[in-house]
Amino acid sequence: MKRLYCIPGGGTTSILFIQWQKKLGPDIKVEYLDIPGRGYLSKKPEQQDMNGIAEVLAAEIMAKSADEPYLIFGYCFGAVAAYEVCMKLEEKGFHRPEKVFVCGSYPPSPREKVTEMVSRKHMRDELQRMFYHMFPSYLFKDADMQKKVSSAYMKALYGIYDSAGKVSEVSSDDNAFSELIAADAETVKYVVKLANDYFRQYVKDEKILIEYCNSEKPLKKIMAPLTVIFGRDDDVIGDEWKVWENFAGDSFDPVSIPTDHFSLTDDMEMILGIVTNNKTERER
Amino acid sequence: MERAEITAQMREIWAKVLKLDDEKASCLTDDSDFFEHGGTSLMIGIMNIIMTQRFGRTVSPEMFYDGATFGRMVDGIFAKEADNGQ
Repeated sequence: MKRLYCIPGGGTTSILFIQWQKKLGPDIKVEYLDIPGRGYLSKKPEQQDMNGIAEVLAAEIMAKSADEPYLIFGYCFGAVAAYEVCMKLEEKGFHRPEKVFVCGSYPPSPREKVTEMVSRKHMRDELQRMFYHMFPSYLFKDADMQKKVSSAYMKALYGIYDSAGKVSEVSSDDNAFSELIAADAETVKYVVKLANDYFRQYVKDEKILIEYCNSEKPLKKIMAPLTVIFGRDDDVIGDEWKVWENFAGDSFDPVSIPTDHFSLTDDMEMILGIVTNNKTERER
Repeated sequence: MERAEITAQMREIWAKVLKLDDEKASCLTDDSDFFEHGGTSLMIGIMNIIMTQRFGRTVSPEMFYDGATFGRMVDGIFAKEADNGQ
């Protein structure tokens, strides 16, 4: 059986891929390669760096695909992890993946140093859109409430970051929420807790990603066909996706999709179509 | 807490999180699938918050990957309640 190993983005879990198995049918088995300590790998010990994460994930692949072909798909943080997993597998002499797919991601060594998302003031509108994306309208009484809660949360988050230099927990007792709590306390508290949970994980993953991407390391290539999926309106990654070509030791196949960074996974069917080579829009 | 009480509360939680009307909520069976009813990763987060508030515990994360049905979630909470009571 061929397995498709799926690694999710920072701050998230592989639940993102939960519908893929039904769409793929019995010929390909979806395997959920979460960041250790989370999701499907919640019983695995948490790791403090990309090296430790890749060791755990490579061991999962080696245990399950010793005699079978396999594919690797990584999204955002998971794409960089996928690269490092490939390096580990190569070091251990394990047979190579049939194909590797990286989606919406920095390359392992970008041209520009990677910085914290929240520190990039020009990205704050995009982060606000992410908040809308994460907490859709049906969670709220109406669109006005959605707008006010997300604005209040992000304002509080930026306020903490600008004064303390780091992201930390936003309190629903913050003055920014007082009027909103009076209108719908339950929803505001859920959303604030969910947003805090997300950002807590995201910040941890982002720190690992930044340390890894900004570190000096020898240029090693993925010795398998590499497909890079990128959003045409992705202002987070910009054109850094092109640098992935330097890490392609076999074929390099860039595929664009019409989204920004935070909407990349809105249409998982389209991405699955690229993975299964049924639907593509390629650019060079 | 008895299994019937957990079932009733879990029905309320699914209805709230998945935005099910009374008719759809009353049609939930042990085999009803969380994701077939529109469940997403965000909704798992909301479910976990509400389950923690009501039961003091959540179901294991692995359950969402391996048959996230209504009945299995009720069983998961009930088993943990039983373990806790011993």
